[in-house]
Amino acid sequence: MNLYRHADYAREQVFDADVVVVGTGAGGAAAGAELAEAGLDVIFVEEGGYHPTGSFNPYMTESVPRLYRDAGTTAILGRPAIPYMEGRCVGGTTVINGGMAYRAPDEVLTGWERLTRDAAYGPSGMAPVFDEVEEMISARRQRPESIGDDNRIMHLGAEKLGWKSELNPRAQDRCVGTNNCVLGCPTGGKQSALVSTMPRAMRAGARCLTELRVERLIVEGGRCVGVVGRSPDPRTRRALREVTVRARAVVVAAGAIHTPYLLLGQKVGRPSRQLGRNFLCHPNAKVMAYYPFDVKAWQGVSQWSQVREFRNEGILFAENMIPPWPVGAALPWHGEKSMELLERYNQMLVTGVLVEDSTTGRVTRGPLGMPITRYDITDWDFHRFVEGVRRLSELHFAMGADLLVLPFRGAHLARSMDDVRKVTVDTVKKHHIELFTVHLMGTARLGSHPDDSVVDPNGQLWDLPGCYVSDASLFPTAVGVNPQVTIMALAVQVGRRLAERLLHQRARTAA
Amino acid sequence: MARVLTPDGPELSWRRARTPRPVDQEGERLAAEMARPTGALQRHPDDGWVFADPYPLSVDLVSAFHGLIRALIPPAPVVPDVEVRIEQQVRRMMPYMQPLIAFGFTVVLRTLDLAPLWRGRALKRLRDMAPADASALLEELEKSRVGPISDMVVAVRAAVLAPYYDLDELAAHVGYRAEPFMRDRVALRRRLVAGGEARPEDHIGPYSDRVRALVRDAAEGDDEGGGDVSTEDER
Repeated sequence: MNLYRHADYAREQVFDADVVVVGTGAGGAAAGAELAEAGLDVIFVEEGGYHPTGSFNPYMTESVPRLYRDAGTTAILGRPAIPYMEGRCVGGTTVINGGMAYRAPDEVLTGWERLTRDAAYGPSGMAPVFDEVEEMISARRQRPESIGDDNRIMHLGAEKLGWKSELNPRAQDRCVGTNNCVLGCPTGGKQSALVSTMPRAMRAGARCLTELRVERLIVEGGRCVGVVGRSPDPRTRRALREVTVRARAVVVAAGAIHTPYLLLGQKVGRPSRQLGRNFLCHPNAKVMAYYPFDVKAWQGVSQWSQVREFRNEGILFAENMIPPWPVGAALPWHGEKSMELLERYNQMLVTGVLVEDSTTGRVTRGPLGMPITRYDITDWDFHRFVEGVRRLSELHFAMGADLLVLPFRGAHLARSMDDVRKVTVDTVKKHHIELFTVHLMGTARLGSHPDDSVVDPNGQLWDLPGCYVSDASLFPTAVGVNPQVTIMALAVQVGRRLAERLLHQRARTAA
Repeated sequence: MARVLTPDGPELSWRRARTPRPVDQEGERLAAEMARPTGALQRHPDDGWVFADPYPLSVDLVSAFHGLIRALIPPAPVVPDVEVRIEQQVRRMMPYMQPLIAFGFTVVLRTLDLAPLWRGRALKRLRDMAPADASALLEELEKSRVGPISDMVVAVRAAVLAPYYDLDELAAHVGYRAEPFMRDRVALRRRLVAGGEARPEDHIGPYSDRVRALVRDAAEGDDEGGGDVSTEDER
């Protein structure tokens, strides 16, 4: 048996493996696939459920509680608070993300090489791994039949203004522009971990324990030798069955919030006091644009291109169309006003301004299994958001938009650039900007010395042998681009190094 | 080929060090199932997952919630049983939230229901006000300078309007007909995976003369070295 659900734990509560991997997202699945294909016995532990491609649909009714952590009600505390989205299902956030497949830029990797003193994390060391990861997820630009009118408007708008607009490489194989990325791709075109790395691991004999939340690590003789989790009753959601997985090594890949949450509870990763710190999140602000003609932006791929003209300032623009239900939830009106705008749903574009972090936040442990994440944008970030929104608005009005909904509380509507220009850092307050994010990174940073990092260049905790980290927590600094490919590349490196070590030990024991 | 440095030995070629396992039959079946599109697109997919029971709310709190729903949803179109359907949907999502957040939501429902009293607006609860009056009061609260008051309205508005616009009637009303579109796209991808080619009618849009003209201009510009939005550009 390879896949376990809650009911199966009535029969079996203790498992043994070479490696237990906590989490099946971009990092966990990639590391686990490498380990399984190397011939090691791998068990994945996934807090969420198993939902195959055939179960995906365009309705939030069951999709959100099935696929999203806490049914999508997660938020980073700060001024302003920032809602964030994280997957909780087999495949993790890759099941619900946009599938952008950008490599970390060389200037970022050069910094990582310096911080880790390991060439494997520098531009030359990462390049061949990026090549392999891109092959795994079929990273490429879109086919023409997947492109919709919102894609055309954004790309041509940038060209009209003389801005650099790049066609995105995406994790996709014959994507046909269904634009259901946020609720799982029903065609199998998006190459999430569910359809790329997890199947590889399964074919190699890995097992996956789903609906099981890891609560603590097992530490014996100063070494991490397994995990203990609880599986909640599916009807009552009360934690019932305790399950133990013992292994020669534990790979924690629960994401940049839940990885430090788990480790902090164990009182490990402490020498540098960096665990949970250095939290990065690439905050985003939305600009919704209405055109006086049909766009039907829900048809066609999400994020065909990105406007990268202002990349040096750490600002990116992209379109990212979403179904009516999140639009209705995000619009700052209810009742008739809400309907008035939703009745123009076919004429609207949802676009975003992404700003590279200029500060860091922190993850700590809260009550009742709840991590507390704190992050405050800086004045510089706020300035860039105001500036980014102004430039993006310029693009929309240049392309014929007649109404914009801006992300500033108290200054939402703009019918012309004059309205937009009234929004300045002096006229709106920093905590009145409406942000969200899906890029969570950096809370168990890689480094070359235990004084300033949480894990060593092999991904192993400095103060807990046998415990590895393999997700976006590893990022020593922000990458400034969509992080999936970089997460996977780091995970492949961690997985391979660990496999080498375990196979070497196995060979020595046999000898 | 990637090369890694082992901690216990010399640098090894990764691929040489592998000892692949034979293909696992059960794993092979699962791997195929994970990636197989069925095109079923069911609102309640039958994949063996068990949905949680609705979060327990007292009759009184349900009544308060219905009052808030009436105040927040648009008066038209009229949808049968809309309050119950939204309430049920929210209550089915609440067990998946952090327990403190779910409990906090019930506190917010209660607090907003009593808003006419603590706001000094009327000697009755919000559920007892006419929907238009209740809606106006919530709008006023949303504009409050006190952050937590405004945040309460934003949270409940999102919790109510997300399931509202997910109703079949509302999706159709705003022109979002995702299911037939997606069914066609699933069939298209099947054809592409089987080695077929996309036909002209498989392309999406342009849906307006304006965008048609933009694309045409861009194509002409492309002939002169400008941008291109129609040609395949695979890496």
